[in-house]
Amino acid sequence: MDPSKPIYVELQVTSHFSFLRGASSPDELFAAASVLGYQALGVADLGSVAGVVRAWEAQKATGVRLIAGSRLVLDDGRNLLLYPTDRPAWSRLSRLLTLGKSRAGKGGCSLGWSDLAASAEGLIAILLPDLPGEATARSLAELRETFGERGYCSLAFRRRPDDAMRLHELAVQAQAARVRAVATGDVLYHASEARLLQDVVTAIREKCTVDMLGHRRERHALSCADTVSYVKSIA
Amino acid sequence: MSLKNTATRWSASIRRLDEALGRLAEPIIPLIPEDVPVALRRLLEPIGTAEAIEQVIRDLLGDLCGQLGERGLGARTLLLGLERIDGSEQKVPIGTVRATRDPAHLARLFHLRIERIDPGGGIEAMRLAATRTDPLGATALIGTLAGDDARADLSMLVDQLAGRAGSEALFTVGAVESDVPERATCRAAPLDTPDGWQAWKRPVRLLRQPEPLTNVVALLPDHPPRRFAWRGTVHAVVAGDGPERIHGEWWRRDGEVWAVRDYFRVEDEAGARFWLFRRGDGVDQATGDLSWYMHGLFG
Repeated sequence: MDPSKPIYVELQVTSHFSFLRGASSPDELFAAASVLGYQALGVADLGSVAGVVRAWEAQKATGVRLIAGSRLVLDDGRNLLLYPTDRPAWSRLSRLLTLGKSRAGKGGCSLGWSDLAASAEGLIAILLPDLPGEATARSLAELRETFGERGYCSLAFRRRPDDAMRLHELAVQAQAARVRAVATGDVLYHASEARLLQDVVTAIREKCTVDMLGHRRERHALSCADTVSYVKSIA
Repeated sequence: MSLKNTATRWSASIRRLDEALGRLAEPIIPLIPEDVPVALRRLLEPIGTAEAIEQVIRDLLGDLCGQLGERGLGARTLLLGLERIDGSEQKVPIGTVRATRDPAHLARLFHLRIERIDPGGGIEAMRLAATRTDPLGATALIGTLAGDDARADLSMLVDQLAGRAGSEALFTVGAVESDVPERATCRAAPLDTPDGWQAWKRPVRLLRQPEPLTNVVALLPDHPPRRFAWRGTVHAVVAGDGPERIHGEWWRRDGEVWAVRDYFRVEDEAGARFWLFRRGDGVDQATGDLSWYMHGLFG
């Protein structure tokens, strides 16, 4: 492995196939990843695998390996990244998404933990916790029970006050639940130029002007370049 | 053209003609002014001293508050009219932030204005009107037996302070949903209870203008400074938290499109805590020139 290239692989990337969430196309994301020296990129769109085709093309063009998956928001608010490890698991994931979409109707995806548990075989699940606490502890225990070794807890920088403490507490909780931690970065756009577009997209989603967005802006979102700077600062 | 068509076409004019000829009723809907509660005192002898005027005000308030109580109203603004012996009149208004009919409280508010009253040759009549009223029902006495921890009512204090300093001088700090600290607060009415505050810590004191720091030693891109000099004093940092990244609000000004501030909370060896920021994210030159500023002090 080339030591000059970062060994970090971003697993929490949302492309513009997550409608009104992500701001960049898979092409743009993979081009940015290639320039920054990533060797692989995990694309997980919100309740969808629609970005996979364009990401596959981008993989061929850039040589950055695609890790295809999906991001789920369960009905109880839990956020998970799901990555299939083999083809039957991919089928289970897509069937799970079909079930969620048929239940919720257009644009939605309604799934509970029991649905997920039924399709858990062969899936890697990464829990995206918000704040450490009892709810997170319960989620972690359930994750360990259902996914065993294939369940992970994401630790992501947010660049907010007390971030270090939040991450420390989450890491301790994950360890207590015997869930391994994985670093992710919540990438919503490929370069800082796209942040403007990101705000506009969020405003459209929230049906208001950019000025009125206030705290509904995507304030934790990062670009590809941001996460690389983190990896460098940790290394 | 049939008569019917004509009628629809000229209906407005025909209706006016009918009304003019008395074939159609044309009721006038009068605007009835609301009956303003008023108390009046005609004085046997003209008065001129502050004590005497205050006594009359107290009498008038007693009458007026009785009227207000009967109607279930509380006064928001009161207008005191004083008729002098030469026929001229002086008007003294007062306002309250919350409807009230407490004569003692209202008397205190008038007491603050008493020196502005010019009795001239003497006052021979005084008239007190509640020009603006709000519904105010009877309130239950708060039982303290169960250890009620109801919030203290600040309205009387606010009224008195407003009477002294002017109502514009009183405000409470409200929150605005903005990440940029300078824009995150606004002035709100004194009795508002603002919500929407950030969950995370903000300094108790924000400097009006961020002050530049010199001799800053810090690792890029994401470390708090090790030491810095502010207002001629060198501080060695023992602990720090950050960065909190705040992007410029690009829709407001061109200059903010790429601007980034990375905020750090740091503690120096004396235990003082500061809120510092660096312009720029430490990677991209367009986001800022990496200069450091002091922006706030924690308690």
